[in-house]
Amino acid sequence: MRNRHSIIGRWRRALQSKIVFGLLLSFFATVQAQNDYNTTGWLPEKGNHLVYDFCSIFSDEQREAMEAKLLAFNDSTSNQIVVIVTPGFGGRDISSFAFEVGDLWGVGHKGIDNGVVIVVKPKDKTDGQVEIAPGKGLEGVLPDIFCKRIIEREMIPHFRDNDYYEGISAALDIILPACAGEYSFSQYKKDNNISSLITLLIVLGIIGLVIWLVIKIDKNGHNGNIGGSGGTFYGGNTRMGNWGGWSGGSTGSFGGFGGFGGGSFGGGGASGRW
Amino acid sequence: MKKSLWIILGIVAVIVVWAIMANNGIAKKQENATSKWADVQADYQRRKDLVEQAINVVKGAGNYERGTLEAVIKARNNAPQLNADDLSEENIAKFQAAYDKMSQEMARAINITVERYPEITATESYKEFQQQIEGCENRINISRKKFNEAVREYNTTIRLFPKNIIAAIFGYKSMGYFQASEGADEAPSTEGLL
Repeated sequence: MRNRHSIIGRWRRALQSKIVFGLLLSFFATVQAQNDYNTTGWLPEKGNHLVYDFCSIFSDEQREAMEAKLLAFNDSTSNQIVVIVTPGFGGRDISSFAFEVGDLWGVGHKGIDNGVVIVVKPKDKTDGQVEIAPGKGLEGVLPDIFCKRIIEREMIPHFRDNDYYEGISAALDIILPACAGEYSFSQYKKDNNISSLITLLIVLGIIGLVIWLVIKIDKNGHNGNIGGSGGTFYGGNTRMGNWGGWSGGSTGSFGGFGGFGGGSFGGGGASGRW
Repeated sequence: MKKSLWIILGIVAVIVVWAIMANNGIAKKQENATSKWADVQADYQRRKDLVEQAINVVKGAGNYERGTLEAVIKARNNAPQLNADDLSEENIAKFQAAYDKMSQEMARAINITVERYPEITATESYKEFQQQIEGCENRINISRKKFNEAVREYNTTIRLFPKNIIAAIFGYKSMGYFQASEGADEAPSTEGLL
């Protein structure tokens, strides 16, 4: 009897400790989920848009308005500006976070590096933080001190009133015109057109070669081969169609953003706290 | 007999073409790494110029401690220019140490001035100077990181078979990395200057 009691007791104790363990585990799991943005190495997933709000500080209309503004700017000037609102930086400081995102996603276009990454961490228990990081090609029009002034005079006063949308919009109202002068769309298009012209010539050359081969084989009377060659020719044609879409720049799947272009970041910009 | 000769010639031709391509590939990666080194040097130079400017400004502000100034000038004169040809681990460490020492001396000189004239910290130009120093530090960090990445790629290429044979024949040496040196970050940073 006594023996049996102790077995039950032990069993019960084991069960209790299991429950406690389970509770602890779920507790840690929720802590883990909350701190996801602060786990070392976390970086946001690259998406098909330009505004990333992980804190839900924007209303839907605000987010859409900002997205539309940045998208129109991308389409008209080729400059890519990304806004990220995040509760954490994956264990980095805000500057490293901005540069890593910019480099990894390739914000801006390759060669002219005309991207800007704006990162905002809203104030919670800890200080609010903000960073404006221009790509290498825009460091000239957005020098560090200029970025610092935008942060201190345009952004932080609004951020102090919890008006994040107004603060970021006010900053964009200065940043956009500054960048627009540096790289206009026609300039980018010109560079791009030359390379796509070369691609087009190469593709046409290959197609010409294939047609020539088809005709030659046809003359030799190998009927069976024509069908196959015709297939290759058709393949070449659809691929050219794809190229057209790519150089168009803005024919993404949502009728919006066509993707990042491989820009690079060199450490310019400024950060602020409030 | 003639046919086998052709086959041997063909194999030799393939090997030669491969060797040329491998060599060009290695040279390209080496070139990439050395250009990244130029970026690193430019960023260090930028910081040096900036602190020098600041020292010139505070020097005009009043009686300056003679010993501190001399230490700065000495450190500045010892700042090395490291040629991209001898980027060994040892040379890079030396380069970094010399620059860190110089930055520390300069930061110390500025700190002494700031302690003597605390009102300087409230001026707009001092804040802007801090901002620029911070920008320099960010740029140095990034260019060092990108240099290390380029070197890693180059070193891996010349160590892997079969390209290591080409690398040995044409005398490609492996390059050194930047090590994150302890205390190097704190001394010249804005916190050190506050």
